[in-house]
Amino acid sequence: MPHLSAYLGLSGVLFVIGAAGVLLRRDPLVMVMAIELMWNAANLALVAAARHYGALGGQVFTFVVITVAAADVAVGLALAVLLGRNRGHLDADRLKWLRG
Amino acid sequence: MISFALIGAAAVAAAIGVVTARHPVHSVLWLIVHLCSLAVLYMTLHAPFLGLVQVLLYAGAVMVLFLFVLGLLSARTRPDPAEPEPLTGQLGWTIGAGVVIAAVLLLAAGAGAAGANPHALPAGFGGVSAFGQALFGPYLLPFEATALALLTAIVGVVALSTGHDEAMRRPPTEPEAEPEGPALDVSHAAMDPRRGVGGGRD
Amino acid sequence: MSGRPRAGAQGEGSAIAAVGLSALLCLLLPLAGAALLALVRLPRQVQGLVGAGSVLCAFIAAVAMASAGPGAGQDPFGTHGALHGGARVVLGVWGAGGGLRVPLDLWVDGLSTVFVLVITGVGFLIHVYSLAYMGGESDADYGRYFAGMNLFVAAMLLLVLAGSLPLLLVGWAGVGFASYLLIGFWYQRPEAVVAARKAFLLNTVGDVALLLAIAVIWRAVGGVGFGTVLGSHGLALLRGHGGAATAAALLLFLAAAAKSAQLPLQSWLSDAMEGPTPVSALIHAATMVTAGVYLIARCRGIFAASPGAAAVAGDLGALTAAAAAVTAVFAYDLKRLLAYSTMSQVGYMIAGVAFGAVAAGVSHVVTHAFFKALLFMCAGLVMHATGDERDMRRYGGLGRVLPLARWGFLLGALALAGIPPFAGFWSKDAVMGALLSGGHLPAYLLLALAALVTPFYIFRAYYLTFGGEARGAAAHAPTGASLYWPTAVLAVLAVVGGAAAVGLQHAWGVALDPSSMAISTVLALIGFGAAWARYRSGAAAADGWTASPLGELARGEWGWEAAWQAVLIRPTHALAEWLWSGWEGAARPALEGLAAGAVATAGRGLSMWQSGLVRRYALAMFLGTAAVLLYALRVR
Repeated sequence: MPHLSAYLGLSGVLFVIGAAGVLLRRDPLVMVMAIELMWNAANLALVAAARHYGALGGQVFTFVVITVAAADVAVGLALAVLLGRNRGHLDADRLKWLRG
Repeated sequence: MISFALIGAAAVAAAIGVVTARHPVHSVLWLIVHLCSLAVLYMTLHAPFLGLVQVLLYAGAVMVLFLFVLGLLSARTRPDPAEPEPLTGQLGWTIGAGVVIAAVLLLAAGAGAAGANPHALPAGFGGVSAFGQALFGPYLLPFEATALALLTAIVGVVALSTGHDEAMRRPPTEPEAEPEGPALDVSHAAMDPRRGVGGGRD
Repeated sequence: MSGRPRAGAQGEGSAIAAVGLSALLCLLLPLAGAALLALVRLPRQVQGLVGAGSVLCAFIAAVAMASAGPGAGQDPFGTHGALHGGARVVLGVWGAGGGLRVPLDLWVDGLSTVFVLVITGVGFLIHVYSLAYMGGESDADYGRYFAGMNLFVAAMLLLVLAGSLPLLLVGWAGVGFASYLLIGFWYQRPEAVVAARKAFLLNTVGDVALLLAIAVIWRAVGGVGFGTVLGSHGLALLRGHGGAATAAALLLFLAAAAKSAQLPLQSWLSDAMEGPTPVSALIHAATMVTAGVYLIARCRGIFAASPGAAAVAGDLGALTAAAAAVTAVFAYDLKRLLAYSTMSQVGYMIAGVAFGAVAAGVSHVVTHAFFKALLFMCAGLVMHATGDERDMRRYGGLGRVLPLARWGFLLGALALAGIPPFAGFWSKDAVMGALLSGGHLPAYLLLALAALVTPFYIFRAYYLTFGGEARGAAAHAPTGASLYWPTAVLAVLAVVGGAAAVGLQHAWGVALDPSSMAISTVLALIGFGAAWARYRSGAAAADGWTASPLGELARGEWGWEAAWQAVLIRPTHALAEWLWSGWEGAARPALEGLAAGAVATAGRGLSMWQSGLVRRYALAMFLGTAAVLLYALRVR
C-alpha cells in the first residue's frame, strides 16, 4: 500500500501533463480532453486523501466532480460542434474575438 | 506497491498519449486507457463504487460522446500538432511553468504527508451502501446542487445548438483577426458565394 | 503694556467699540471700493465716485477713529521703545498650527492714527486729482485704475492698522502687489512692464526678509502679536537674546529698505516713474515708501534692543539721503528727479526712526506727504501740458502757461528745501537735531550734505521748468477743476503743515534744537543761493555743466544697475540659459524619450497578452499558478 504522498505526486504530474495539453494543442476537442486529464488528476488526489483519512467526503466530492466534468464535456463539445459547423475549422488560434 | 507503480506509469503514459497523439481519435483512445487505469487505482484505494462510475460514466458515456462528435466533425480542417508551435514562447513558457508546478507539487506531496500513517477504515468503506448513505445523508445538498449544474449545462447545450448562433456565423474565409476591410460589409459578405459553403451545412 | 485691550473700568468699552468700528470701516471701505471697481463694470462717473468717495469715507472714518481713540497726539512708546497705550481691536485668532497663534487684531495708537490720517487724507486728494488726470483712459482702464488705487490704499491701511506682524505682512505684500498693478498700469509699454516687475521683485526680497524677521521674533518671544512682541515683556526677552534682536532688526531693516527704496534695494523707485504720475504721487507721498518708516517706527523697541542694527539702518538711511540727493542734481527727467528726492527724504525718516527719533521721523512722513504729493501733482500738470514730456531740457517758460503749477511747485520746493517756515523745515530739522544731540555724527554729516544739496537740485528743477524761455515742448494748460483744487489744498498744507509736525513732536515729547535749526537754515540758504545764482535765468545753457562724465555716471545711478547686472542678473541669466539648453534642450527630451519608450515598451508587452487567443490566456493562468505556488513555497 503506497503512501498518500505517492498518490499526490502522481496526481501533480498528471495535472501538469493535462495543463500542458491545454496550452499546447490547438484542436478544441483535444483541449477538452486535456481538461479532463486535469479533472482526473484532482480526483485522484481526492480519492487518495479519502482513503488516507478514512473520510468518505473525498469520494463524494469526486463523484460531484465527475458529474460536473460530464456537464463540462457536454458544453465544450457543443461549442466545438458549433465552431466546426459555422467556421469550417477547428483551430483555437484562429479565434480572436476575445481581443475585443 | 508494484501494482501502483505499474498502473501509475500506465496512467502517465496514457496521459502523455492523449496530449501528443496526432489524431484526436487516438487521443480519445488514450484517454480511455487513462481513465481505466485511474479506475483501477480507485479500486485499490477502497473506492469500488467510484471506480465503477469512472468506467461506466467516464470511459463509457463521455468517451462515446467524444467519438460521436469526432465523427460529426471529421471532415473539418483541423490543425496538425506536428506543425511547429505558432505562438512564440508558448512551448518554452509551458515547459518552464510546468516543471516549476510539478516540482512544487512533488515537494509539497513529499513534505506534507510524510510520516503520517493511513487511518483505519470501517468495514464497507467506499462500497455502494456506505457511499449511498453519505451521498443522500450529510452530502445531500451538494448532490442536489450538482443536479442543478447538470440542468444548467443541458439548457446551455440546447440553446447553443438550436439557433441564435448568428454571432458565430461569418464567412469561413474571412480572417477573424482583421475585422477591417470590405469583408465586414454585410451586403458584400452576403454576395460572397463561399459563404454558402460554410454556412449552409446545418 | 500687556497684550490686553486698553479697556478699563470707566466705560471705555464703548470708546474701544467706536475705535474698532471706525478703524474697521476705514479699512474695509477702500477694499470694498476696489472689489466693486474690479468686479463690476460701472459707468465712468460712478467709477470716479466710488474710487474717490471710498477714500473720502475712509478719511472721515479715520478722523472719527482719531477722535474716539488715542488720537494722533498720543505718544505710542514707553520705556525702551515698548508699545504703550494703544487700543487693541480684536477681530479673531488664526491658529496657524505648530503652536503659532496669529491674533487678527487692529492696533490703534498715535503712530497708526498719524499714518491712517495721512494715507486717507493725501490719498483722497490724489484720487480727486486722478479723476481728471486719467480722463484720457478708456472706461475699462479708468475703472481698473481706480480699483488698483483703492486696493493700494486698503493694503496700506491694513499695513498700518495691523495688530500683529503676520497681519502686517498681509498688508505689506498687498502694497507690493497693488504697486505692481499700478506701475505697470500702461501694460502695453514694455518699459512700464519691466519697471513693474522690477519693483515687485525687489519688494519680494523685502517680503521674504519680513517673513524671516517674523520667524526669528516668534522663535525668540513665542508670539507674533504686537502686545506680545513689542510690549515690555517681549522686548525684555529680545534684549535677553541679543543675537535674535540683532537678526530681527537687520531683517526688518532689509524689508523696510525694499519697501522704502533705501540702499541697497533702492533701484526700483526711479524706474517706477513709468506709472501714471498720480500713482507716483501716491507711492511717494501717502503709501508704499513710508511703509518702511512705519515698520521701523513700530518696531522701535526691537531696534532699541540692538543698537548695532539700529546704527546700520540709520547710517544706511543717511547714506541714501545724501547719495540720492547728489544723484538728483544731475537728473534731466523731472519725475526721476522727484524720485531721487523721495529716496533722499525717506532716508531722513529712516535715519530718524532708526536712531530713536520716532517723532521726528514720523512728522517728516507727514510734511513730506504734503509737499511731495504737491510736487508730483505739479509735475503731472507740466507733463499733461507738454504731452507727457519728462525731459527738463525741453521745458522752460512754463510758469506763464501754468501759473498754479508754478506757484505750487515753488511752495513745494521751499518746503522740500527746508527753508523756514515752510513745512519741511520743521520735521527735517527735528531729525537732524535729534541725530546731532544723540551723537550720531557720521549720519548727521551725511544728512547735512543732503540738506545742502536738496535746495540746489529742487530749485534747479524749478528754474529749468518754469523759468526762462520755452524750449521745444509745446504747452497748453490742461483743463479740469479736479486737477487744480487738490493741488491748491496741498500747497496750503506745504506752507502750514509744519504746525502739524511741531504739534506731533511736542505731543510725543521731542523739542527742536535751536543750534541745529540755525545750521540747517544756513545750509538750506546756501543751497538755494547756489541754485539761484546759477539757474535763475532758466536758460538751458546754465545747465551745461551737468553733461559732464560725472553727470553721466550719476544719471546711470553710479553704476549700481550695472553692478547688479554683473553680480546677480547676468549669472542668473546664464544659469537659466544653461538650464534651458542643457536641461530643456537635451536632458529633458532624453528623459522624456526614455520614459515614453519604457511606457510604450510596457504597453506593447502587455498588449501582446491581450491577444484574444485562449491558449495565451490559459498560459497566463498557468504562469500565475506557478507564481502563487512558488510564493507559497517561499512562505513555508
